[in-house]
Amino acid sequence: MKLLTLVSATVLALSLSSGAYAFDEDAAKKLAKSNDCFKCHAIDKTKKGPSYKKIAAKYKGKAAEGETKMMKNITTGPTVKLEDGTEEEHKVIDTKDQKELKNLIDWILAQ
Amino acid sequence: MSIRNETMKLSVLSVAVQGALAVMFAMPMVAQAAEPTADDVAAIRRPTNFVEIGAENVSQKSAKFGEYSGLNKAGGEFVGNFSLRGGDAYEGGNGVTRWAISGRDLGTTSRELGATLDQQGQWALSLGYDELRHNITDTYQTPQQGSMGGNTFTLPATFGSFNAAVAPSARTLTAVQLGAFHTEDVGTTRKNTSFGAGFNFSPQLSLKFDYNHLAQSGAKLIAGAAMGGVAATTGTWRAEAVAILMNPTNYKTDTFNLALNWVGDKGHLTGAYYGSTFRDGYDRLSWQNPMLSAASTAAAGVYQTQTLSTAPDNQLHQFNLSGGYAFSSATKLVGGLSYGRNRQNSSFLTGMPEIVLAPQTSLNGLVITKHADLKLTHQATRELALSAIYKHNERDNRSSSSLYQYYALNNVTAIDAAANAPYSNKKTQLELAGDYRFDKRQTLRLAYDHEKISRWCNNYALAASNCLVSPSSSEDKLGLKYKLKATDDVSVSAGYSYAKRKSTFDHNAVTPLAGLDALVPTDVNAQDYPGFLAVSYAPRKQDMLKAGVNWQASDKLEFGVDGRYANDKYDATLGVQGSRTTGINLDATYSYAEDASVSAYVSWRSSKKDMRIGNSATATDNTQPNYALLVAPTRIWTNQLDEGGNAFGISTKHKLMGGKLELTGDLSYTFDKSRYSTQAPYLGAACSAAATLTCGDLPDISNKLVSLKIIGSYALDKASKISVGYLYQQLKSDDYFYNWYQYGYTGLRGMPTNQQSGSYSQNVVSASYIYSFK
Amino acid sequence: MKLSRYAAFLWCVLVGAAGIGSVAQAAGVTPGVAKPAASDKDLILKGDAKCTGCHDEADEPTGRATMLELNPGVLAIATTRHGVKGDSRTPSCVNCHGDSEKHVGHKGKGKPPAPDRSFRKATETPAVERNDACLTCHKGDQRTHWEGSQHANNDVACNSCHKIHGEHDKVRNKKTQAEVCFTCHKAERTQTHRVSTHPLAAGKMACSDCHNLHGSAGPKMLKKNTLNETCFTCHAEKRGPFLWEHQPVAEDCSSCHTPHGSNISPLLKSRAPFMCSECHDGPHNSKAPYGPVAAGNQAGFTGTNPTENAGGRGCMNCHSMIHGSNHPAGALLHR
Repeated sequence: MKLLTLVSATVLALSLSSGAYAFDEDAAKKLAKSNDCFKCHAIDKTKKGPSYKKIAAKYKGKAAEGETKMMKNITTGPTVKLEDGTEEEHKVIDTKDQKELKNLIDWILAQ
Repeated sequence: MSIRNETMKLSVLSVAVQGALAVMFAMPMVAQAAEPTADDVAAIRRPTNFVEIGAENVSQKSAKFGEYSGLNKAGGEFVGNFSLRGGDAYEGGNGVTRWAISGRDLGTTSRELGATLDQQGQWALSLGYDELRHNITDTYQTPQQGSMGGNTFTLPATFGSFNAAVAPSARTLTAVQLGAFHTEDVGTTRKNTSFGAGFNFSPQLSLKFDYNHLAQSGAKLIAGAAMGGVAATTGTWRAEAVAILMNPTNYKTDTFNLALNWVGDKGHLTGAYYGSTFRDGYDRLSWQNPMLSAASTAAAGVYQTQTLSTAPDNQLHQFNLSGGYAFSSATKLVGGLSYGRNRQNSSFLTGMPEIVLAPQTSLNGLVITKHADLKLTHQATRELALSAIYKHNERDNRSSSSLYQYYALNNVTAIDAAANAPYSNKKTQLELAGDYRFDKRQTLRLAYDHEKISRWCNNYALAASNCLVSPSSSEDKLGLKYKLKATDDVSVSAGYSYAKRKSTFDHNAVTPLAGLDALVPTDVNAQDYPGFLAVSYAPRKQDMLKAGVNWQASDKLEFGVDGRYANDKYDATLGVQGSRTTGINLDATYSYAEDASVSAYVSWRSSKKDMRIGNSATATDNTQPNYALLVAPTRIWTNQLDEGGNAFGISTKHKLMGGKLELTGDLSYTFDKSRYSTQAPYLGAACSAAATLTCGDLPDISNKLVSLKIIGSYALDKASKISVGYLYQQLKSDDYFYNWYQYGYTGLRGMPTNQQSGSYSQNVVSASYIYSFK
Repeated sequence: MKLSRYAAFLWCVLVGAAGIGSVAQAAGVTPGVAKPAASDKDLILKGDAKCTGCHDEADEPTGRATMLELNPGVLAIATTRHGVKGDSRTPSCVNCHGDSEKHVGHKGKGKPPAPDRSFRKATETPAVERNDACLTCHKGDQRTHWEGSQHANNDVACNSCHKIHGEHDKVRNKKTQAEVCFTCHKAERTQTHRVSTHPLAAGKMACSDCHNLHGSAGPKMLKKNTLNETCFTCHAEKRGPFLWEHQPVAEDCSSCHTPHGSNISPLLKSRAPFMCSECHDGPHNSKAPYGPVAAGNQAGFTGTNPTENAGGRGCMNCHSMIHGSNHPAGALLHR
């Protein structure tokens, strides 16, 4: 019982902190910057696209769904709706490395 | 029941504690994501200010190491740097006021302070103070008494005069004499105070004023030689007895610059006045000579006082006009005119035994400088750009010229005479060039240069003669340069130029080098042997080749190679015959991460200059009143100057610990050597004998400098940084120049100074705290 | 028919001529693009909203993100004189970079085309066009002689040396300027490490203390009209005119000196007595050969009197006033 409590407490505690997803923030930001992500997505304000905080809030608790959606956007470049109502193809990130992409998505979801 | 409750409570507590611990542990990751917000735009707008305070420790006393940095003493020095800026121009509104104050190297004699205040587009004010102490040597020793920077030096009464005509002379000094030598820290200090102001009448018209006051103190070393034939108690003082003295640099230079600028749509014009006033606090440097000739004697404590003149006060007032006009976007004309008056009228020294006849009390010197330039550039077609440049520079020396009579250093019996030559020169240049762009990748440039120099003297006292041997020279140069972007990553350039110089000569000119032991100078050709032509005037052919390749191997890696070769051939029987110079540089830069890079370079150079000089046993062979009477020398000796060097350097910059720790490292090595070699076959085997050493290779002048610098800065938090630095620098300097001035090794008529070449091995550790804020 | 064909031909000629005449301008971009209207979305400059919609503080380069180490990208222009929007002369983004409609209007997954005038390292914009952006305002004064100058002829652009979007422009700071110049001027880089130099490596002098890098009326882009005049701005004690002048000094300091650095102190190309023999072969000891005796007993000379004509300062042990003398008895530059 105590052990279970301890374990669940730890899991809960850990899930409360943003250390839930082990990501490399610097690498994520570097990748985002070099692919011009910040030109449309700021971390906390709305530009052409929603802010990363808004995206993280949208997919809170639905990490898997968020990951799939975001992965699709940044690898296939489907048409998306901008904040001002117009439509445009989403930018494709120039790396094929799954680890890097996952790292970026994890960072976004942690905002 | 209660037990269960207690257990629950504990569990909640343990969850809370562990949760808190986990959150605390995860804190750094959250806190570091200090997301830029709208407030940050305001922060970005504000300039970064910083204050740096620290200390550095120098391991060894060395004037050479601290030559310009002020770190010439061993021990600790304060490190202070700061930069503060502000003003409503940084607030994002319509403010235009900006102010700044800054200071650098505040703890050393290389300190600098500045302040500016301006309303951009309207007016500006600036103040500056810059100090530089040039440390020359800290190993110079002299028995002369007098402070460094002063102009009067005397020997202590107990020093005693001695016979410098026979060994051992100054090669063996008595204990009392040696005891009189003391070490001086020789250097000059420059203190520059500046004031600037600007005013914009309108966006087109502005006025700028700059004033600079340079105050110099301290001294540089100079040699002084005593005059022979002057009576001592019995006999005479030694002729040409050499002492090394501290020549005071007690100077003040004031510079003014006032300019009115007008900028229009197509044209622009600037009218400016430049004034420079130089004042020397001393008009002479006097010292005492203890060296006697033959078996002469002097009364105890009595020495020969000698005087050197110092730089005379002078002023320059210059008016400048420059402007340009764009006829179209393809054709532009630019030109300028300058007129300057440079005066010097300091009173001559009087009452010296060496002056026999000085027909004037001052030079009444006046030099008029004139300049005119015109440049036309025209983009004839999309591919072809043409330019034509004309320049004229004239130094018209209107100073008076008279015949002066004096005693040379060797005696006071034979009077020498010379007429001073107020040298004038005029240089005219014409350059025509065309740049042709074949396509986006290739360009070719062809340029032709013609330069003519005339030299003369106005008012030369020896009116019938030229005052110099080469009244004119002209040079034609043709140059070609080709640039090619071979691929997207490789670019190549190559250039070649050929220049040919001709000169006219008046070998019957009677120059100031014309008349020892004669009341009226008559020797022609500057007393040079026939067949000899001075290097500045001799006809010459010059080839120059330059080439370079640049290769961007990848996004991160870049290479560059470039080389140059120059070959000069002089057409003169005697004099410099030729010189060749070769140099190659290799550079590479590897930026292996966003905040990290390594760059390296290697350089190599080699040059050689050779000359042929003649002499003869008969004095009249080169001293005649007519060129036809001079006799070409048959005793020929040759000399070469061989110089070479190589250098390499590596520098690296790296950010670690997520950017908190920044490391920069710099390693460089420079090696230079110069070697003279002399051959005199007419002297036979005796030439290289140890008793004469007239021929042979001189010891190399070699200098090796190694420098390793490592600086690490660690960011404590947003605003603070600690910077720790280590510098290892070693100079191995070998120069035979100092040999003659060592105790026991001077010539018979030279006083030693013990000056050393300045080799050092230094470890400098510095640490400072930097506080930055916005 | 004939008339219209003729008219068409004439039209082509005129257009062609106009095309040649406007060769200095980039396709579709004229210097002097009209200043855009201010908007309340502007971040730094008047009318910059069109650009800062994307290039805002969220897009600033990342590093270890702290307030002070934002490593400012484009927005740091605010800390420079180009960011003072209260000054009516201050340009906006488009005045230098062009209207760049293609760049602004780009939609899609790929990277947008470069702005009309791009100043990046791998730019397609030729140096002449990049320079036009700057010279529209910064003409005259120090840039009077830019066209046809050595840098202009070698396709050096203003942004090859200057950093506009940064708080610190390396070339406008004495301590950091030389390293920018050394990226091309490699020979001078090694010269500044030699044993005798001007205080360039020490950061007390910059290349721009003697040279006007934007072109000048003087030789080798020196600030003043002649080399001597440039040297005299700091070394006015040598300006004279002297009673007894040394001719090469009056004509050209570089007859003997080399300004960037030398192995032979002080900044000499060669030393006495050998240097003096390059111009004198006859008077006094200029005609005498000297070998290792100049290095005295330490070099193996066995005599007691290593001559002062060659040792140490050589000729200048007596002829010490080598730059000229104002002493009535100084004809031979002894005093």
